Amino acid sequence: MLEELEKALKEEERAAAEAQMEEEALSYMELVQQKVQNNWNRPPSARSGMQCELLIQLVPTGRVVGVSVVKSSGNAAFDRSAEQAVRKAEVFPELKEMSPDVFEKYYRQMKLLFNPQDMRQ
Amino acid sequence: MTLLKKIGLIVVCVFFASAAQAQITIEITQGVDEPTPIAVVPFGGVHASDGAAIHEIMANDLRMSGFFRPIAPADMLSHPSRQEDIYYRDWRLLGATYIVIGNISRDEQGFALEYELYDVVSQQRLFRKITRGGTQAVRDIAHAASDQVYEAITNIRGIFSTKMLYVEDMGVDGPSRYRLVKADIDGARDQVLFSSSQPLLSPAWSSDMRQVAYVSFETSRPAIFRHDLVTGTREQLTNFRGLNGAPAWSPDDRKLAFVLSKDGNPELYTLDIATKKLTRVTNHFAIDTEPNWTPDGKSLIFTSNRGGSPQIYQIGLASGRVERLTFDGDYNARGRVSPDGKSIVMVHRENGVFHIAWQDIASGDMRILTETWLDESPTIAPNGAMLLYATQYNNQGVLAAVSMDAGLKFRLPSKLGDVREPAWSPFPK
Amino acid sequence: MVKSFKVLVTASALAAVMAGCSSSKEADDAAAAAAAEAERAAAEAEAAEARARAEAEAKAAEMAKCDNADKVFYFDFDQSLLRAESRAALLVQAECLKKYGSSLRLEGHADERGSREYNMALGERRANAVRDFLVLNGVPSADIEVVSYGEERPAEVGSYEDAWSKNRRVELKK
Repeated sequence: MLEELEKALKEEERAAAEAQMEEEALSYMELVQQKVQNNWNRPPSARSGMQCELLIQLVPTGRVVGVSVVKSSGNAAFDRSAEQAVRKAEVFPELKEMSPDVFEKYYRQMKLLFNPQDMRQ
Repeated sequence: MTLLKKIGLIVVCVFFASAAQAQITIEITQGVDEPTPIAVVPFGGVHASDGAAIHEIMANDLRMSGFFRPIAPADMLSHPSRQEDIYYRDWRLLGATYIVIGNISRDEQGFALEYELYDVVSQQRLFRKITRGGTQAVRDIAHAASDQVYEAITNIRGIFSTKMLYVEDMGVDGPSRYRLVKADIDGARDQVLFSSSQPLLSPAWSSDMRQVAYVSFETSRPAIFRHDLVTGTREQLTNFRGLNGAPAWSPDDRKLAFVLSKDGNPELYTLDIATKKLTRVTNHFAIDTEPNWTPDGKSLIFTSNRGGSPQIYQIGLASGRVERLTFDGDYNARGRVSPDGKSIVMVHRENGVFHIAWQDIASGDMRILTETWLDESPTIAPNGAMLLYATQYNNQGVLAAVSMDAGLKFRLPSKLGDVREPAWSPFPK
Repeated sequence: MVKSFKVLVTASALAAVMAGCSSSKEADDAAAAAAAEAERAAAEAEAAEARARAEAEAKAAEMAKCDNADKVFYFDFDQSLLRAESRAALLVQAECLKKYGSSLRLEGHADERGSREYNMALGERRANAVRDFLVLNGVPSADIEVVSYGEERPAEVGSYEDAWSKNRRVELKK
C-alpha cells in the first residue's frame, strides 16, 4: 500500500514537473515565431493554402545550425523562401535563458509549419 | 495557456509523451514582403553595352518586376566573377539574398554571357548558364538572363523579353500628333509604327505578335485597321456607319471581335479575317462594348450597361448565353481575362475614384490593385503576375505597373507626350 | 434712291404746279391728279422698299439668331439625357435647319473618366439623343451625320469637374 502511495506521489511530481517544463517551452514559442515571420519574404506565386514543413536544429545559444524541408509545398520558390526565413533569422538569443532540460527536450530539434493566412487564394 | 492570448497567433503544439525528445511545431502564418535584395555584379571579361551595360539592364529589369531591390555596384565591397571569389559574409552584411556573377566574352556570333546565380543565405548555387547574341543584341542577352534569374527564384516565367504597344499624344495639332509606338517592356528601343493627325485607340497584339489591330480616325470617322509588323502593310477592316472600336484578337488569331453600332446601338461582332465573314454576337438595346476573349476561345467578356450602369458580362459564343460577372460597385468596364482564365482585371470606380481592380471569376472576390487615380486600360503580362495600366502623374499621361496581388507597384518613366492605352505583348515565340 | 425719288416727285409736282400756273383749270386738275398719283406711287414704292428692307433685316436677324443659337449641348456624367435648356436650344436649331438648309454633323464627346471605348459609345449615345430630337422636330435624318470622339477631343484639358463638365457635350457642325 505504501509502495503504491509512493508510486502515485512520484507520478504526480513527475507530471507537475513535466507541466512546468511544457509551460516554459511554450513561453518561448512566440518569439521564435515572430522572428521567423519578420524574416519571411514570400515569392509572388505564394498563395494561402500552400504549406511546407521545415525541421530545424538549434544549439543552446539559440543559433540555427541546421534547416531542412521535410514536407514540400510543391512550389520550390515557396520552400526556398521558408528556408531563407529561418537562415536569415539566424539566432534566437533569448533561448540562452531557457532551462537546459527544456531546451534539450523541446528546442534542440523543432518543426516549423509555414502556412500563410494573409495571401490571396 | 494564458501565454497564447495574442490575436492572430496560431500556435500548434504537438507533444509526444515520451521521455526522449519531444517535438514542437510552430506555425508561421504571416510574413513581411519586401523587395528581395539582389546583387547583379558587373560582369568580368569584355565590356558589352547598349547605352547601359548588361548588368545595368538586368538590374533595371529585376527592379521593374517589383519583386527585387538591386544593390548598387558602388555599394558592393568586391566585384567577383568566379565562385571562389565570393565571400558570403560580405554579401550577408550588405543584406543581399541573391548574387549574380559572370563573364562576358566574344565569339563568332557576337557576345557570350556566362553567368551564375547564388543564394547568399543558404550559400548554394541555383544555376550556371550561358546566353549568346549578336553585337546588336546586347539588350536581348540581358533580358534573357533576367528572365532566367527571375524564373529560378520565383518559379514564374520572366517577362523581360516581351514588348509593349502604346499610344502617345504629342499634344500639338499636326500630321504626327498621335502615334502608335512599339517598345521593349523596359521602355527602350521605342519605334513609331504609325502616326496620324487624328486620334488612335485600342491597339491589340495578335498572339503570334506579327500583327496589330487598332482604331484610327484618319478617315474622319473611327475605323478598325490591321497592321502587319513584318511587311509594314496596313489594311482597313471596317468602314461601318457609327462606332467601329475595341478590336480583340481570338487566341488562334483567326478572328477579331469588336464593337459596331451600325445596327442602331453598340453591339459585339466577330470578323473572320480570312473570309471576312461578319457575325453578330450580342443583341440588346444597351451599350455592349470592349470585348476580350477567354483563353479557350469560347467566350467573350465585355462591358455592358444593360443593368443600368457599366458592368462586366460574359457571353458564350456558341450558346449566346450572357452572364453578369461584376456586382461590386456601380462602374466596372474594360475587362481583361488573365492567361490562366481564372481572373479578370478591370477599370472599377469606388467613391468616385477610378482604380484598376482584380476579381476571381469563380468566387467573385474583388480586390482593388492601384492607389493611383484616373486609372484605365489595364493589360496583363503573359506570365499573369503583373499588369500595366495608364494613369495621370503631374498632369501627364503615364504608364504604371502593379503586381496582381497588389503587393508591388511602380511607375514607368514619363515620355514627351501623354502616353496611354498600353498593350502587353504575348511571350515571343 | 429714295432721296432722288423725292426730288423727282417734288420736281414733277413743281413742274405740274408751274404747268398749272400757266395753263387752264383742266390742265390744273390733270396736273394735280398726276401729281397726287405720282405721290401715291412714290409712297407705295417707299413702303414696299421699307417692307423689303424690314424683311431683309428680319431675315438677317433670324439667320444671325440661327448662327448664334447654341451649337454645344451639355450632359451629366454617364448620361445621355437632354437637359431642358438643350431641348429649348435644339428647337431653335430645328427651325433654322428646316429653313436654311440642314446638312450637319453631330460630334459626341465624353469626359476623360472611365474607359475609352465605353466613352466612345457614350459620346455616340449623346449625339444620337440630339439627332433624335432634331428628327422628331422635322429635320430629315438623312442630312444628319453622327460621329463620336469619346474622350479623345476634350474642349478643356484638365482633371477637375470644371473641365469634365465642359467635355461632356455634343457639338453641332454645319
